[in-house]
Amino acid sequence: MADQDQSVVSGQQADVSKLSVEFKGNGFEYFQIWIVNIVLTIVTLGIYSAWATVRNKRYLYSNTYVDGTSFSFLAEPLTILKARLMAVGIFILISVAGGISPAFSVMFGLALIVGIPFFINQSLAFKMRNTGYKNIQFRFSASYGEAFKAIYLWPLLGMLSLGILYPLAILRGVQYRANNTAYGTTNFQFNGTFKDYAIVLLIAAGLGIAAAIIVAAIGQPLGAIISLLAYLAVIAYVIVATSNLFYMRLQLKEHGFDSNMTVLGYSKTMLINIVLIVLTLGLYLPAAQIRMIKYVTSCITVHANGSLDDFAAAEQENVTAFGEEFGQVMDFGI
Amino acid sequence: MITGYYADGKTSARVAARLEVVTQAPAIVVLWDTDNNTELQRSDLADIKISSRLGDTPREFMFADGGLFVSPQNQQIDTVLKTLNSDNGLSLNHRLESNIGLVLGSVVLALLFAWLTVTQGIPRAADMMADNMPEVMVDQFDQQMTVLDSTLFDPSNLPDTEQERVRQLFQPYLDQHSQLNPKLHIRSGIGVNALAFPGGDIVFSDELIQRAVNDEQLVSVLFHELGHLQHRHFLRRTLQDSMVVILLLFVVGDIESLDMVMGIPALLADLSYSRDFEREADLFAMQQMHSNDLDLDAFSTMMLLLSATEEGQDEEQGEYKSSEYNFGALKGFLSTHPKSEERAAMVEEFKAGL
Repeated sequence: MADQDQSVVSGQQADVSKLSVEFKGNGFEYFQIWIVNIVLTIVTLGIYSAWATVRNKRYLYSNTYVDGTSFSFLAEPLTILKARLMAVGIFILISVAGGISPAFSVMFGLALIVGIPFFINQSLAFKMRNTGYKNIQFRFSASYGEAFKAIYLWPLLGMLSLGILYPLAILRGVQYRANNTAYGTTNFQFNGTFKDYAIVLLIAAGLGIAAAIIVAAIGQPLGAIISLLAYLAVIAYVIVATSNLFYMRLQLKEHGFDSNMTVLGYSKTMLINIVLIVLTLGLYLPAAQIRMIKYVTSCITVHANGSLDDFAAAEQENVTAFGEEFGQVMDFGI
Repeated sequence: MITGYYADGKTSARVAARLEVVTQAPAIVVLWDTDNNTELQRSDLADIKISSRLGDTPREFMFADGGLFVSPQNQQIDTVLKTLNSDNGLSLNHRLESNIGLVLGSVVLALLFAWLTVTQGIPRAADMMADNMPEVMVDQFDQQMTVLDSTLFDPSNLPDTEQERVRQLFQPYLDQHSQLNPKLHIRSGIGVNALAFPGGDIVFSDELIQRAVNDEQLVSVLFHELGHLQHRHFLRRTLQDSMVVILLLFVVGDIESLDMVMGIPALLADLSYSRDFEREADLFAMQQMHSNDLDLDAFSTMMLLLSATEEGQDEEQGEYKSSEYNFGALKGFLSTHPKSEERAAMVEEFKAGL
């Protein structure tokens, strides 16, 4: 493979304020890495999976560039392996014990409900701690109470208020994630409002109602297909609108972000991915991941207000990978 | 000489830098600030943590004090490391990954492994686990119908006499399988449908009862549902689905990054399991029909009757009215149930084998 010989240092350009986010990986290259990882994982009876995870993630992180500098994925395979074995062990224990005594399942379910906010905090802390940019790590730190409110309390209030407070529930969730995340010692700040999310949800509801009226007018055979498409379109709209909103209202000190994903662009990417994954029996998965990342990163810009050089590193900290791995096994990951 | 940039790990500032080898043995390298020509780092190569080559991603040199030198010049770096006889940062992985023959071999191996695990390994493991689990207590499912009644089902609209007639019709067959503890419930609100739940609750919908032309057809559906109970399909499907998720987690590494897309292989596996279980329940139904001297054709007629219903209405996916959409060849692949023609053919095959 030919090396890119141009200098990586793009020079200090204080006047340029809009920095694009670039993803330089390609689907086939990632596929080669991914498939070799899978075979090594099979041959080692799963032990290699932790190294595979690191290698896959490193590929994705290291190919994502902002301002000519790539991100780094810093986690150690052994940390992940230990946590993963523990998580799977606990999962098997729970399944077996639950089969023997249903009372145990109930007890465990309750313990899990109490534990989830803690594990989600831990999982986000692990992810951020292992993301680096210009040799400065990200951080995430939130209290149990904050996580509990964002995960349970606000969504519950949203439901109890018949959806009126739902925009607030989403807002609190995003604030929990963004405001507790830091690049080095500098916290991100999310400036979205209740109104922002209320508009998104109202438009989504409007689209849903419009589709329902059309379906009712057309009648059953064709209507079923239209309602399925409308359902997917509404989901795509909500995903696109909320992630655009996330970047548009996000701030890191005096620097801002922007995102201009479109429902059409996103749906097209998603549909192509789904069709190709089904047709290739799953072999297209890695390339699909790349296609989606390419689309999303191509829509994001960083509005740098002056230099990005003066972020300071946070103190060293160690976070176990358990929350992250446990979350994946138990399927409460975020 | 290798060029790149250096970040000291204290602030996010970066400077242009170049790495030079000073002595060969021991291998000492010096990192220079390109603009000022000042020395940034001087280190034994063995004390630097060099990332292994990964596609064309930039290489990272982590110095002992946390300083980081990054360079995209993979080719030069590999050459330098080789001449220094250092295996630091040279991994086998990249050689495997860039060998097309090996990659193709991996594809074949991975597909074969996935195929064997999903079609053989997981079902057998789940079977063994299900057999070794103690009989689940009956009273655990006491609340089940109460919950389902308040969520999924509506009360039956059939006249009491008709409901009683169906109960009388089914009673002898339910008695034959009393070890499964089957309990019949008649409900509406789920279209033309029949469902079996762990613990023995079997639900028939009004619409299904009305659709059947004769009693033997209804009994054939009952046997099919008893087949689900007999083979513990609910439990086995749950076990198999969770094994698929664990397998995916181990093999693909992370399933979170693209939940919607990553869910597809798991969904396809689940659907394939569902179809296998339907076939198993069908076989059970045919055996029971046969041993009770009932007309086997009632079973295939019922299948055809139900598939005719499918064409007409298409709202909820259910036990008999599967979520088949018109994807042509993909139709069988994406369905919870085998095709009706296939099931009718199974009856013929069964009859031929008698």
